[in-house]
Amino acid sequence: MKKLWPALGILISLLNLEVLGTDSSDRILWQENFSRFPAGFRPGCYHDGKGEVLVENGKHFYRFPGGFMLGSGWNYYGASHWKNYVLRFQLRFTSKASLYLVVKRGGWREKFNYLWYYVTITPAQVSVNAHNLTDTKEDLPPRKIEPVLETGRWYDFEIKVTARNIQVCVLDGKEKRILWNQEVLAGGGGIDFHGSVGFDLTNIEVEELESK
Amino acid sequence: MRNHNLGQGKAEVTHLFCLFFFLLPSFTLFGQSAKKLYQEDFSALNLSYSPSFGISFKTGGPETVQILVETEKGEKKTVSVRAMDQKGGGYQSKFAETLYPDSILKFQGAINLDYYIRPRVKRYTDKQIEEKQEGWKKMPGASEKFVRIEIHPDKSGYTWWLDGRYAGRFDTTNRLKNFTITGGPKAEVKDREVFLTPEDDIFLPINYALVAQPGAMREASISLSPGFQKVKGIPFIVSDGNRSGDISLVKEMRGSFALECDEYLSRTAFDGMPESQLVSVPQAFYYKAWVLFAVDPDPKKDPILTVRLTRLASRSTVGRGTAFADTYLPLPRPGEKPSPNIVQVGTVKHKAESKEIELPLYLAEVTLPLGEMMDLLWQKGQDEASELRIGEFLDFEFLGRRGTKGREHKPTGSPSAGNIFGVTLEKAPAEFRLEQRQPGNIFLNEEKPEVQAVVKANLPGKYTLIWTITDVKGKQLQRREKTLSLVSGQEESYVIPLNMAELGYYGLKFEFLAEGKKEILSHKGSFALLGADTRQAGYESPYGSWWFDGPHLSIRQPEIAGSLYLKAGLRKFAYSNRYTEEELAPWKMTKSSFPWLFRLSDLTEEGKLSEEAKQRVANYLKEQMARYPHCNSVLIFHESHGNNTPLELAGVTPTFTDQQEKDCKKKVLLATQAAEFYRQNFPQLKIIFGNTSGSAHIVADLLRFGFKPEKNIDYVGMETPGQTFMPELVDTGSTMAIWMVREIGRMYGYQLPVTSCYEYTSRPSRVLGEERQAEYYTRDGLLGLAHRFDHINPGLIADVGSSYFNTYIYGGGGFTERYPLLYPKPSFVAMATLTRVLDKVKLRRVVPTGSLTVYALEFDRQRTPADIAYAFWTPRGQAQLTLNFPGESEIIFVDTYGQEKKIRTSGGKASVSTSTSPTYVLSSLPANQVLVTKRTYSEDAPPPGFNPANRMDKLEEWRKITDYSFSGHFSRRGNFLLRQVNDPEKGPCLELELQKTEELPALVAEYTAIKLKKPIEVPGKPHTIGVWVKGNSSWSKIIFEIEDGEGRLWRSSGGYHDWAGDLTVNFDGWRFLRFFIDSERSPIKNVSPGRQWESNGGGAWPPSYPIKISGLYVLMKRKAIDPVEMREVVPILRFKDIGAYE
Repeated sequence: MKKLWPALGILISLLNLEVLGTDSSDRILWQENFSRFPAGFRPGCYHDGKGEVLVENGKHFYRFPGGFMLGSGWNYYGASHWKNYVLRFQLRFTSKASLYLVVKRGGWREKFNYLWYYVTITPAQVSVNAHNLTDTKEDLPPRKIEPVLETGRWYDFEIKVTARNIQVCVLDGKEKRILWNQEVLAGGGGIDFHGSVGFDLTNIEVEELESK
Repeated sequence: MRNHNLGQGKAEVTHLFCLFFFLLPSFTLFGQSAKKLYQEDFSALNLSYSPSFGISFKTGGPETVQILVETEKGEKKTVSVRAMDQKGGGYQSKFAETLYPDSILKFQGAINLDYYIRPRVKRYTDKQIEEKQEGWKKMPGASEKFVRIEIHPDKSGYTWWLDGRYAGRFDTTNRLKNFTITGGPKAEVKDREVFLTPEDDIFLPINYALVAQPGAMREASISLSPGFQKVKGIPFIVSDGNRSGDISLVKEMRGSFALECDEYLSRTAFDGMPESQLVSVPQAFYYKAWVLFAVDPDPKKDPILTVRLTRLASRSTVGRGTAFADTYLPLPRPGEKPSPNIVQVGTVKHKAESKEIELPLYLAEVTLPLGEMMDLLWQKGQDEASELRIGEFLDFEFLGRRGTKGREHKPTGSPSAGNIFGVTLEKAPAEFRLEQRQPGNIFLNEEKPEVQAVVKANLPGKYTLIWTITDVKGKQLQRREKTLSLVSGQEESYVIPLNMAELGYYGLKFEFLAEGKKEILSHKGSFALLGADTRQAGYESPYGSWWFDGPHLSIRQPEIAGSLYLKAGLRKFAYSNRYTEEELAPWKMTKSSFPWLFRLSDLTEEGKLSEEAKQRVANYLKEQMARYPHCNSVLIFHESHGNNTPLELAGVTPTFTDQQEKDCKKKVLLATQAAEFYRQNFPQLKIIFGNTSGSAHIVADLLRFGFKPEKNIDYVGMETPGQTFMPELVDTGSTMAIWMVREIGRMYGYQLPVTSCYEYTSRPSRVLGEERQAEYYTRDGLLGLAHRFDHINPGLIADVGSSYFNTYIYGGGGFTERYPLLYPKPSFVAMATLTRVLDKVKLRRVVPTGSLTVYALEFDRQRTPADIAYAFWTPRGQAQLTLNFPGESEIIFVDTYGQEKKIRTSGGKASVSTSTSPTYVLSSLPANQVLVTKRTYSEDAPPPGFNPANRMDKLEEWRKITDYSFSGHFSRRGNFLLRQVNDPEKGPCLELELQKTEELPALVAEYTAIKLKKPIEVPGKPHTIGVWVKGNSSWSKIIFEIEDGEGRLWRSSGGYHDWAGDLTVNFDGWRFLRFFIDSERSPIKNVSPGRQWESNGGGAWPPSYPIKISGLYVLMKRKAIDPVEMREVVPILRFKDIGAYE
């Protein structure tokens, strides 16, 4: 055995492999539940440390301070390549506020230019807009949320983004309600949370729709 | 008037001043109408000593001021001074042609320099000029400024001083008789003074007030009286607040440009820059500076002062790159105890925020590390590197904190809290110099290894010289000393024998001590013992290197450069054109190749070479071939294209803009026409094509657009700089861009021979360290031989002395230190060994060793008698090899530095070792087999007591995430299996296997991440992160991910990434793979340019602690270089015990 070189050694050890377990699930592209931060912590990676992590009943969440959450670090998660994914997060309005959620940004495009698509969520409405769209027009009517979202209550949101479609759902108990669902222009990738002050976020997860 | 405390003499000369100072009538002198402004008759003073004399003058207009000095024996010295305009002049500056009126006083005659009264514009960037030029206009013009000229007597004659700056000397044994000054109608003089000379044989008090830029302490008053006096026995010319020097005002202004030049390191004391407080002084062994200073209490200021002695190189704007006696003086903040070399000698009343406070006035004794600039001290006569034609001189200055990474002699911009009230330089009680018997102390054949030390006493005493000889690892081998008793002025020589039992490289350190073991200086050198020159190769030898031949403060003398070439076994050179092959025949040197001689504009509209161009090139080549008859190759292209990695190597078809396509097609045309021209007219010349960094890009682009290499070229030329890239790392900037060129050729249907351009790799020892430089150069050479190169031209023969040294490219890649020191680096000895052992070799085969990261090459040595040579090396760690021969024999084992031992085979087997430092075997017979028997990586082991953050033995603590972080042409998301296994050596651990789903090009990595479900905090402030990896020699890459104390994520994947391959799996078996967190404290240094850690949003590096370890990214490769062809590897890695430590 001494004369065998190590790569061969690995091969041979594989023949006698004692596999103690495997993990092949890798569809989760990004997860953030803020539990790694203690109460009162201001994570430098989000809003450059302006937002605060709070804890209630063991649940860690992020008090949104306004502005872009990921800023220059958004591509750290490889987000410019995301084009076929489900974004899940928990949202709680603490006052009248708007979440502007960028769901397609940069990345690949086809015929028309736009800077990004963003989903605007207020307690009463969901709308989608293509920002800086040139050379074409889109009819993207807003949809009302009925009943309106209650202040101080956590809601589970799920946003499915595919090449030509954006679908926004909210989970009401066990029931998934589609709030907005429409074809959009092709292209894009990546996310960022933007918005005014007045809501909390937690349990963010991005899952790729196709397995790698 | 200067308040020199000169006692009786002062009263005497002041009285005389009243007698003689009056305006004299106009008269004609030196052929022009001029009025006599003043005449001093020294003999009429009737002094018992030879006094100093000073007077201030201004030209008052464009007319010349003339100064005439006569001695008692009728010797005459004249100086003419004229006010002039200056042109902006800066390189590629939009102000280059702008005229700045009345800026310079031009001194000619006995003083020969340009004195910039308004700042020298070229020393500033365009932006700085825009900001400052209005202010410059408000400064007094050259004709309006009173300049203080002084003459001081010394032992050998007189020294000239302008505004406190040394400006030259004249030697005489006679006393002065007259000083006469005349000028135009508006010229004036004032403040005439005859005084006792402040300097003596030991001390040089600097009139710092004439150089200083006052700032924060402009209003301050000090408890000492301004003027000449002794402070604690040291003579000083003390300044008051409004003439003190605020060192926070010292700044770089325009620095490095065009890669090879630097205005900051080219300054003179006469540049008139308010941002410098630089003074020229007569050249002497000043080993101490005595500094009177106060510390600005402003908390924004940096409590550090650099005290510097050097001689900046101003003549060609290349700047002085090394030879600085720079030392830090830490400044005591209010309430802090000063260091032992600082004493309080008074107080300074200073206003800060409207309050008057009293600060200590300190006196510091600062030792200048003269050993760093001995060559400047040893130099006699005018320094050709200086534009000041004033003979021997030095520059002295203060600045604040200095930078790193090539900015070691530049201010960082952090404002120093130092405020200077006086400075005096002290000459060493004795001087020391070395006289080399052979250039660089490099000994070949029968040359007697010795060096002569010369000690000269300035004061009587006993002086001790200690010399220590070390091996390449710094281990002490010998320590000897010699004490000499000398009277003042006595000089004595002592020959130091350098005989050692073994050949090789040796460090040689000197300590020079005065009585009581007081160190005067220490100086580090080296020497090399090379043994007999057994090489048989002549001009056909592939080995060569670069010789600047003068530029960049390099060697000009052919006998010195030639000696180094001969001893290193280097036969080919670039870039000098001054000496013919015949003139260089004693050193067997010829040119490596003729350069690229055509240009795109040589093509006519019909796409043919113009007749004029062909004639030009033909004439040049005929002349050159006569000068260098053994040079047999010519370049097509040189640094002529971009240098990106061709996308074809990622399996991607590139796209081109119309302009890019047009450019490529034109280059195809030009290359084809040039090749046809050479083939037709100079068929004896071989054509080396490409020569543009890694050359893969130009080869790919031109093959794509129709260039036909098979008939047009003989080789592709590699011009890859290598820099700090590990040689075996396949990258377009590294040596192994060779593989990329060959692979591109194969893609287009060609087998492309490769060789090196006359510029090849350059390995800066400043960044890599000397040992690693030697290893990399040797491996560059071996990789060239593995690819059957006919030209191998790494490095440059000696470091440059200019600012180019401080770059990542050629300047610091010398095999020896700068001229004239020329001390050999280990790389010199390594190259000499390679060229001696691998003399006249032809590759027989790349020998498989059983490991893709233990390399073995087998050569025929086509010498008389013929034999076989082997070269072995690893990119990482050590290896034991067994060579199986067909019968019993005796082989010779040679290490990197030429030490040899004979090994007798046993049962036909011989065991040898190798490492990152290559080794060789010479044998009469070829071996049947070479096999790796052991790999070790002892130097990488974590420290005792290392406590891993996670053992990596429980799968449930980890998860696999294949995100898009590294998605790109050359790295794709892979399908991996992560599992927990039992390893026979490490027990339970994690194993990652890449599942093959499609065929991919060899350079494309597939990646995934394994992340801790709960990141783990590492206590303290760890500087190094690491993980045990069971490697597969795949050149896969491991990227660490951590979370800083502010919640930011960071990955070790920054730009210009990991050139040294520290994150690369270039090993087999278990090795602790380490990377720096804080490179200043970690044993792993950042040798790549730029930051190696990048965050997911802002933040500063090093990180805020405590850190948490969150996971790893693994970029797995399926193939690895052998080192000529790519071979399949088993895409499995195991991991254990991730952690960080300090």
